Amino acid sequence: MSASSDLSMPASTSSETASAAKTDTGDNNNTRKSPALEINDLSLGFGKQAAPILSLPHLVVAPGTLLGIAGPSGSGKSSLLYLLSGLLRPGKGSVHWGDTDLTSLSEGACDAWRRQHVGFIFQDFHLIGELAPLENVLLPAGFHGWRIPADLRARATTLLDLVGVPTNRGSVVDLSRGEQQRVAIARALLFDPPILLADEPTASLDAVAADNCADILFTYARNNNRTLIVVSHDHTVIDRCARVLHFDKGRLLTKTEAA
Amino acid sequence: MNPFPIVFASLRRHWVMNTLFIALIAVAVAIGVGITAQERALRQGSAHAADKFDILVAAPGSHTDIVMNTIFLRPSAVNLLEGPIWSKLLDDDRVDFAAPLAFGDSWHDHSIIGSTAQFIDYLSGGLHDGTIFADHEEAVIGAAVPLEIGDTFEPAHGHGLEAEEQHHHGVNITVVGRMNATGTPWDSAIIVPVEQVWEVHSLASGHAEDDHDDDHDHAATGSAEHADHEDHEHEQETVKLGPPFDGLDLPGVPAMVVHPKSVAGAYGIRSSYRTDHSTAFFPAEVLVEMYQMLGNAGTVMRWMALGTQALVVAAILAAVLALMQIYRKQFAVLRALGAPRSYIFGSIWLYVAILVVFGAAIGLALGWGVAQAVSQVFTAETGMSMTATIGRPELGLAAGFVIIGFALALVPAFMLYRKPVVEALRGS
Repeated sequence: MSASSDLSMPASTSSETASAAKTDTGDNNNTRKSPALEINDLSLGFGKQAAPILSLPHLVVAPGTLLGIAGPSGSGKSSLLYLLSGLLRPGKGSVHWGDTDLTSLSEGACDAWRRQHVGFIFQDFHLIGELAPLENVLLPAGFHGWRIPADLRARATTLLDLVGVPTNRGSVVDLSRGEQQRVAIARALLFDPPILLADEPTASLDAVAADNCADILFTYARNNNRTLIVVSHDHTVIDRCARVLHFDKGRLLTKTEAA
Repeated sequence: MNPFPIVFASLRRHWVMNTLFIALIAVAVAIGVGITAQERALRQGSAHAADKFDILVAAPGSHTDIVMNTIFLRPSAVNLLEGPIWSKLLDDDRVDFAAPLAFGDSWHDHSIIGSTAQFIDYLSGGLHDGTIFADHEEAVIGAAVPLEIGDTFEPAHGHGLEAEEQHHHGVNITVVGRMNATGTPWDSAIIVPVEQVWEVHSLASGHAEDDHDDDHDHAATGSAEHADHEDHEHEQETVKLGPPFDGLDLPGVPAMVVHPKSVAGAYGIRSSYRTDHSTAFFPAEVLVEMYQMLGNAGTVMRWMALGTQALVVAAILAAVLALMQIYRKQFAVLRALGAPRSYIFGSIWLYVAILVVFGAAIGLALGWGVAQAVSQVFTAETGMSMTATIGRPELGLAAGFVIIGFALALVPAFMLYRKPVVEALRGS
């Protein structure tokens, strides 16, 4: 597929979207430049007496890094992803994305920050079956505006074109699983987020589709200098990462850097 | 914020269940709307039927029976008002118009009522076709009687099966005129001269034998032909119909309908004729009592309808809460994609609100339709014109249901709004 070869498109994000981000988060930095990630003394546990299920004393991730998180099931990989997106609050510690400390944001501010800065990709795509591919991609546009700006609609169409999904399909249920995941990727890229978080993005795809999706995701992140953090068991995905963190039982075991 | 795409998608996804929700709401609303619309139609129809009957004077007895007999033409046995009493009414200064009503006979379940030409004019404002009766064996029919002018029929004593079993009077009556439609049970009535009723029941004629006719009022008979052939008739035998009656040789009648000259006169008549031998009353009084009973029954039915609505709302709420468990992960994903809590809250609320609004609107139409159908059946059965309409009470009921629905829609919205996102994403 030729889609991944031309994934260096920057977003012409509408002024409405940009101003929404500014208003909601108080963040004056509206450029699409990826922020650095810094984690300090992070600990996540359920219940006061229980041992933490995830513990990470310190981690710094430079902007534009392609970071893989690997480890067996239950090792805390997905929990880390949720912590990095502000969906989960740590028991202690901090998660800084640039100047923004997620742990200090209110839930509403965290939602707004995530909307503007994070593109989420899930293992099971989580598309709305009754909507067409384009409607699925545009769904996040309805979170903070009644009318979808023309430039955003054009971007959604372009993204679908780039990931190789025809826009004339009636419903996403008519698509193959690989195509569905590509629609989900397009949805994640709608606002050209500086951070891309992917939770097992290829786990429910066959090898060809998985390779294709991984190709799209990594090419886009690399070409646009986006930070991509991907949780995966899949070596075709992990092998594409510049850095890989190996977790087990909630603790960081090793860090590997690509040669 | 535009939650409509996700709301419409949710409506489409479980369309069978959503259709069922809407149907349940519609039925619940329709029951309430139907009851109130029907009750009002019944009140309006019966009030309209009683419009021309300002005061009824009759022999002492059940006022309800008298009203049912005279206004709604539902046959029942009533005592007869003595001739001297009702003839006195005709000469009462407080009376603008009075007419005797004599029941008892029928033709194919159409009541045959003996009265006067003046009553026909008073009741229907003149004739639609034909002429007024000028002889004992002539009749004027109501707008809904399936006879044509010139047709003849033989009256039977009594009504229904009883009339079949009982003897016929052996008299052929000819239809000479048709009344204008009144929208009352009287549209199904056949009116003959009261003298004809007395005659077939072997009673006195109501007119003195030697009273030939200087003071006979031709105009009162309403017969143009009668006037045209005055000379010819005087040469033979004058047919005496209508007032003045001979007060000394006057048979009793079941009731007198009276239109007073004034309100004060009405109360005066009502008071004067409440004696050991007669009773006088405003039919409106009886109707109010009937409405009260109807109202009590209506209240019970409305409470039952409200109970049904409450059960429906509870069932739908429970089902929506169960449905929300299915949507839980979808909304968690939306949160992960950056949807604010208000978006989730708004989407769920809007989803339930749309079901409620559609259900209430369909219920309003359904309730009106059912009430209208029942009214038509009732009209066919009684001849009383009834039109069920959607008025403020029905709109208020539907609006109340919608408001309660809107309020209850907050429950699933609030519950899902508070669900931890990560827990739902993990599918636990």
